[in-house]
Amino acid sequence: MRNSLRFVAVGAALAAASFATSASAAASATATATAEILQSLTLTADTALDFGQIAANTGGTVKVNADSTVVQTGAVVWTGTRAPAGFTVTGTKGASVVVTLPTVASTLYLGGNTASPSKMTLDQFNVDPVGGFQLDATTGKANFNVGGRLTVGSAQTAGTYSGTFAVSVEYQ
Amino acid sequence: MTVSRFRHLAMAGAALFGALSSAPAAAQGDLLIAPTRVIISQGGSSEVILSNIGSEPATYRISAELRRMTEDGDFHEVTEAEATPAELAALQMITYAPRRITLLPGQPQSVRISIRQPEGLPDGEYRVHLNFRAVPPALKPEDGAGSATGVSIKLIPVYGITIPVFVRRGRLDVSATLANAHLVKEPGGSFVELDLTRAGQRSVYGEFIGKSARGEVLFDLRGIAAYPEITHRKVQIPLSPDALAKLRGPVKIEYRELPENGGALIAETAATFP
Repeated sequence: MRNSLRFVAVGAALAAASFATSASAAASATATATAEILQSLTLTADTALDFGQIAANTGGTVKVNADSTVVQTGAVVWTGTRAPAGFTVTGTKGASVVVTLPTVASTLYLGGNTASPSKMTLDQFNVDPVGGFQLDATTGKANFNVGGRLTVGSAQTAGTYSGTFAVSVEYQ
Repeated sequence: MTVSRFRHLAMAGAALFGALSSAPAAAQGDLLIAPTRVIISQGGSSEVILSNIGSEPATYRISAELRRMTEDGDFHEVTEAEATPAELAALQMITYAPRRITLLPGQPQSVRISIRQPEGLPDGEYRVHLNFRAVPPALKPEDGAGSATGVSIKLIPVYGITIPVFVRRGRLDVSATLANAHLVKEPGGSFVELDLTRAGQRSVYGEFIGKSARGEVLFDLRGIAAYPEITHRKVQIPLSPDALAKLRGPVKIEYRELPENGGALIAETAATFP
């Protein structure tokens, strides 16, 4: 009989994750117990991509870059906090990870209703640090930011526009 | 990062002054995945643990996707229309369940991966990338009701983790060589760049360890692979300020299997830094 326990070895919040994957027939006199430490990876969202308060005016674009710089075009007037989305990755110390972002634009619809003719686009997604980066050699953590460009139309219909954008952390 | 393109919109009509604000969405869908790569030999199966490490219940979706590695070590998404026969075979061969899981905070569940090898499949390494990501919560009615004059936006990141799943069929060999290690200094940080050349029918995976003449470890970058679709890739090894200061004279750079895989030496090169 072989009892195999698998443990997830990551710091926080998962003390009780153990899995018994097999425990069969008890006809044998010897038992082997093994504990396997699995490499794990966690991803948490820390802060949202924030475009602040924008007066649409006759329209334009606001681009909040992953490195926290802001570029604006057209007649848009903005105030308030503008910040990229922030994420934390935790995994194997010193490991290399890659972030992938959408290559196509996301569409934000009025009221989240995809049938609505009123919409805005979010594109030019960018990440900082660019390309692959290394998790900390001591803590196994790394932070990364994601930014994008919002295009605001002239006489954009009032209301709440909502949409999603995909962010994926890749192990090799 | 520089912005290369500006898009000018025509100024037309009367000015509509609408306040536009974005409402930060509560983090929902934080997740843990273990292990972070799966290798299945002939006829085997495996499992991956998914755990909700957020503070809210979340529903996760699991999907099998195709990626190709570039010579810079980045990944490109590949659609089914663009896929090679081997990539399509990998998608058909690798099955997993469940595909959608709702988990309470702190709750883990295993996802079982199994292989259905078709008859007559050529030997080789087949690979898909399993993506685990939270399904965004449905919009509440009040989300759609903005103020009468203002415009606000609500952006929901759909974020997840993607891990490679390899199926190896037959006896597959691989070898690698390293060359051209040199120091690159950029405003964003310094790194050692080198060329990794791969030969054989499968991927190679390991860590890069730099050692001084006295045997001191100067850097250690883990989890670097070269997949079968490329025979050559650039590797950039980030250097801490401390490692940069110590990078003097002859340095031996080893590419080794990870310790948990035996730690065998795959390839090595030497470089002398000024």
